[in-house]
Amino acid sequence: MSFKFWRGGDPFIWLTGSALALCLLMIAGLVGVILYNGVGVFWPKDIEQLHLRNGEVAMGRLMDRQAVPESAGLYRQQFKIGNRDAYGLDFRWIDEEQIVERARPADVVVFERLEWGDAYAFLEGIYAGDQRLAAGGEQGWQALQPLLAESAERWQRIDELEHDEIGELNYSMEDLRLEIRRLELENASSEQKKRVAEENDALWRQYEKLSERLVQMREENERIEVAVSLAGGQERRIKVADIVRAYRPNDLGLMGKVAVYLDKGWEFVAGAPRESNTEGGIFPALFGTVMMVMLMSLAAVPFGILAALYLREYARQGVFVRLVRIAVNNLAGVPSIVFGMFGLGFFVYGVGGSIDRLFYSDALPTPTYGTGGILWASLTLALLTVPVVIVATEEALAAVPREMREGSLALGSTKFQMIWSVVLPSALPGILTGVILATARGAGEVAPLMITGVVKLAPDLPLDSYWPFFHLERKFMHLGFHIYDVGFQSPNVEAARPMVYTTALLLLLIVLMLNLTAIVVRNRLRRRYASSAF
Amino acid sequence: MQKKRTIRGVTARARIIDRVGRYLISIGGIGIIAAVLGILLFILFEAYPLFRSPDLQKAAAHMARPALVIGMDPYHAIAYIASAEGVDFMRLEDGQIEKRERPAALVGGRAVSAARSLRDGVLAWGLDDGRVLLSRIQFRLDYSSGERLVQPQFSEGDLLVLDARGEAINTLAFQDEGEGRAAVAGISASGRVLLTLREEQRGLLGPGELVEVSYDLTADIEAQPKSLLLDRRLRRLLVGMENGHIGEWKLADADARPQYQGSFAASTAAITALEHILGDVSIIVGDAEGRLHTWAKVEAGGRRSFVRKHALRSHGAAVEKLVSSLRDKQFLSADASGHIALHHMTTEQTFFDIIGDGRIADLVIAPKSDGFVYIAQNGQLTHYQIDNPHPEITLGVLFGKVWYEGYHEAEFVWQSTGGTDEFEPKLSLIPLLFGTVKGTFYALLFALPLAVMAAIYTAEFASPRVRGIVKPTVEVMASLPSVILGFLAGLWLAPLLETRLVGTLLLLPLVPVVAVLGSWCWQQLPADLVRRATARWEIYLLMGVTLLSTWLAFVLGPSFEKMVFAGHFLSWLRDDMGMAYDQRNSLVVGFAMGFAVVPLIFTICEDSLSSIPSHLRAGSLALGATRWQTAVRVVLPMALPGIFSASMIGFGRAIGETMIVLMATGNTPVMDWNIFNGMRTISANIAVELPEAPHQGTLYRVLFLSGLLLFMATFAINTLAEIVRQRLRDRYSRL
Repeated sequence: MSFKFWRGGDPFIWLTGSALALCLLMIAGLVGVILYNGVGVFWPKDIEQLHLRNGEVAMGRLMDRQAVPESAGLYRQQFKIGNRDAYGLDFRWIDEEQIVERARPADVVVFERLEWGDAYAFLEGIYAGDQRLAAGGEQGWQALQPLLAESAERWQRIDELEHDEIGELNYSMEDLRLEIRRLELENASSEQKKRVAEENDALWRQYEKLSERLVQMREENERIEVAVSLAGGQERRIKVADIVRAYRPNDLGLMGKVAVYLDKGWEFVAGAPRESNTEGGIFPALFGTVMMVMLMSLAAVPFGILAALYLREYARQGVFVRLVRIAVNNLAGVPSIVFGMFGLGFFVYGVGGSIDRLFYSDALPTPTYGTGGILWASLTLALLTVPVVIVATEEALAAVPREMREGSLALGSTKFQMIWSVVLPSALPGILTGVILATARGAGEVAPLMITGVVKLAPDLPLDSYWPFFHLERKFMHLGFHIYDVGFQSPNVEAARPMVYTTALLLLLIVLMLNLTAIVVRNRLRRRYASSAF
Repeated sequence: MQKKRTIRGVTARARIIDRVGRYLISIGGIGIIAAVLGILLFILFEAYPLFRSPDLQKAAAHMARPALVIGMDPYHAIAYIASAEGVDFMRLEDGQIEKRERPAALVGGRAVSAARSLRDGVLAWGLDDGRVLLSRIQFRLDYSSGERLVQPQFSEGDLLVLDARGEAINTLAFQDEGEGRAAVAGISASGRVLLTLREEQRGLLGPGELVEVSYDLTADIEAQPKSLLLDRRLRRLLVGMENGHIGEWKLADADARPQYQGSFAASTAAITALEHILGDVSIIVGDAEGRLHTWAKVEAGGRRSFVRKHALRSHGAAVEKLVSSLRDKQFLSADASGHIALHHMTTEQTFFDIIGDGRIADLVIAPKSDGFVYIAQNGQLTHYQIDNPHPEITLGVLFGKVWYEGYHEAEFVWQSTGGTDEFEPKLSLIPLLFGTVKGTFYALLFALPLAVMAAIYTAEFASPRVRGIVKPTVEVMASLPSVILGFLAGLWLAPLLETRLVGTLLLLPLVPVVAVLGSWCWQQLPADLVRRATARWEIYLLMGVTLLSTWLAFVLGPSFEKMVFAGHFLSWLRDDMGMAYDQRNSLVVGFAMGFAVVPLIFTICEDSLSSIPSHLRAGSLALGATRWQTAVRVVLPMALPGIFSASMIGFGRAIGETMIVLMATGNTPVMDWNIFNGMRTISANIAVELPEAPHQGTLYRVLFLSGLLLFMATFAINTLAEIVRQRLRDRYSRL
């Protein structure tokens, strides 16, 4: 390599170029990893039956393959063996040289259960107590289908009973409890107290009746059991009521697998979480995220635009405004956790505490607004995103050509008319871009939420059919926090990992979609300016 | 006419709307800006009380009878005054005596000394005939009338013999361990040291048997005893002596004679007062010349011996009384001239020093450390309220080394919670600041060269088509939620890195070397082809070359590891270098946080490079410079401030990043530059500890203070970057 080669600088150009290439590869790699791990989670892979050298029989789904550490050329494979109740583990490494024979028996059934994760087993029969309803194999499989449908229906009824009827009862009982407390505080007459006590008794009787019915239904639900045998031949019983879904992956064709995949995917998006968030769906988290982002935009966007309008159009441009501008600009760079801290101190303890003392004193010491909730979290994030909206809006306003303003004023419009009908419309795409980018930032932010109201499992959505419908004081779930919680705080991280990847994928899609919208909007804006005659 | 009016009407309405709009926008705008700036003030106000000086207020003063010992309840309602013939319960509010107790054993004023333990409500009297009377005082709370009423209860206990010779007990100490073990120690009128141990020895069958044994320990010591101290767990008895030495006995079962451990010189003057600090690890020693020190056992050379740890402000006269707080490391001291002072051991602060009404007979600190009561020899009883919510915080504690109990030396420690009630929070911000700087350093080490070089390539050498794709891609990268980055770093990258560490480290030299080699090979191709292909294919070629070097690194990794590190890098690291390897370490954080910072730095760098007027480039190229020479000698120097400001903004972002650090490190507050270790940053610390911190407690305020530091640091950095950028913009516009 000659002197000239170095002197011309081409190797350095390649050096800088490889830095860029590395960046691009990293992005591609990151998205690729999430896609690779996230998309396939719900695919009903075949189940393999393995005969091992020591005579053992194992059954599971192939998950991974890697070299055995400190050995020459030997590999081992990781299988998801399910049946956590029987084996205690979900995954098992098996050395390849141990495997004598592999088969894919068509009649292996995957039972997705409410507890203990999946069971991979052969169907041996269906029982009601000691009475045998159906034999194993194909016959049992056929007999199981109507039973599963029935069980699902019964679950739905139980759910309705629990949520609607008992839920409503609980709601009125809580109201009554607060009333009693209020009466006590106010030293009400004994007559009033008596009336309330009677009402309370009536509610209790109603409640007892309902819960009795519930117990009855649950008992009925638990009557029928499926007898199965595991890979090693152990016999087990699974209650039909515990089965969420049953299918035979090795027997399914491509279409059948697609159907199972879509079904599970739908459950993921629209269902509630099971087994401490490691199974089932993430609908509450999705709902919480969307609702929080909406509340946040509702608070941040109008005020952000107002502030930008003031700064750009009304304030006298001078040292002060310049300082404010720098300050606002910098606030966009202040760590989100600092905003979270402020939210906790100011909104939750300060404002929330005061609201509790003023309006909810009968519920104290249980805080109503004086604890984290979706309202406080949204307002905190709104504060976080307001600087972004202000900066973007200001830029968009500044980009409106002077000639347009002067033209409008020359035609006799007032300043407000000029802003309202000339400046704002032409700045709108720019403002919109800023708003969408700010929203995307808010949607992905987790740290401030952790201290202002997000929880791993919220029993109720912040929006339901009880007055006043929006329960802004409630705690909520969030996709980002879900990732952190399930991935890092869950007792069974290994089993939860697929779930985390799919959740991450979903969050990534939401954020990317918002960003792409912003880019498209911006490109349109550019085109519009390019075509205009100014 | 008609028409004109309409026009006037329209303009009038327009004017009103204009005015309303102006006001609305101005009020809303100013309001939102004020609110946003108010954040800083709010955080400041939340942290400020940490440094407020304590507030001392005299609440009441009453005349009482001359006392041996006094005590009080947690709510400052009632004080008890133990005198020679019994105990009086006085309402602190109005000085009324609520109850009097006169035990039969004390009739005629036979008590000459007394001792109390506020924690378990024991009051003991030393009599003039060598006996000791035990009693119990409790305060019941009664809410039945709607208000809180404190009701004192007195129950007389056993009478036991401390001195068989029947001398008067002039100094008394008592401790009850709680499980049937108790000890009474005393100094008799002729200066003998006496100890009685009692123990309920549980038989295998039948009820327990009460064993009570008395010992005369005078023979062990070499000087006159002046003060006594028993610890709560009944492990040792300390006696302060005339010659400034403190003697120690090890206590065991009641029927075994306590073993004398020897004495150590604590002072040159007589030891006039001894007291334990909460937790019974440190002792406070006050001498006849007014000096106050704390001592604690520290292990050195295999032996645990007493070492002087903290010095407090001295008194002008002999220290006579010491009382320690039941909830923190504060204590009160009183001297012979009537001065009373409140100190905090760990921080070595003295909060106040007041003069009482002559010589102090006894004083007691309120159980919640929010007040104290003292009684003078003449029977004047005075009640003070203290408002000092954060005695344990000083700038020295937050930013300096502190010698905590159980440590060999002064250290920077962050440990906010512990298992016991006696736990002392250790709130040094230095480990957190260190962790923040460490994480940021490794992130920038990774991100800065990558982002700046990528920006130079994009702005100077890439074709417009490539630039059109790269910029939005990088912007999308900027908006990736950090929780996703953190999750991938913690759950995917960290385990991967542990198995492929050498390969990953090999990337560092391999990527540049392969790039240079690739460039050389490219040059060997026909010049015409190169010129035509460069614009279109260069970026793909580069990606290919980079992929190649990545692949090479991972293929070569294992064999390189075998050759250089004897097969296993991690064990080499551990055995030969003595470095620990955490799976979630700074390297992982550096990657992940670097990933978050790269787009930020890249965008600003690229902007400042590409906004340099192109006639400068054209001139340089026209004079015969190559592309690289133009970039390095003409463009880069001009864009340097922009690159600086980009790195500052990247720095600001990395400092405050929370989720990535939280998920990709072990969050242990260690102080160690080792790249294979974790750290705990300020932001992650806030996220972890703030939800658990009691509102407006010390931890809460310290966390707010750390947040304030973070706020100010990022604000300052961003302002600097912004000013640099604006200057730069002005300069370009003049070119």
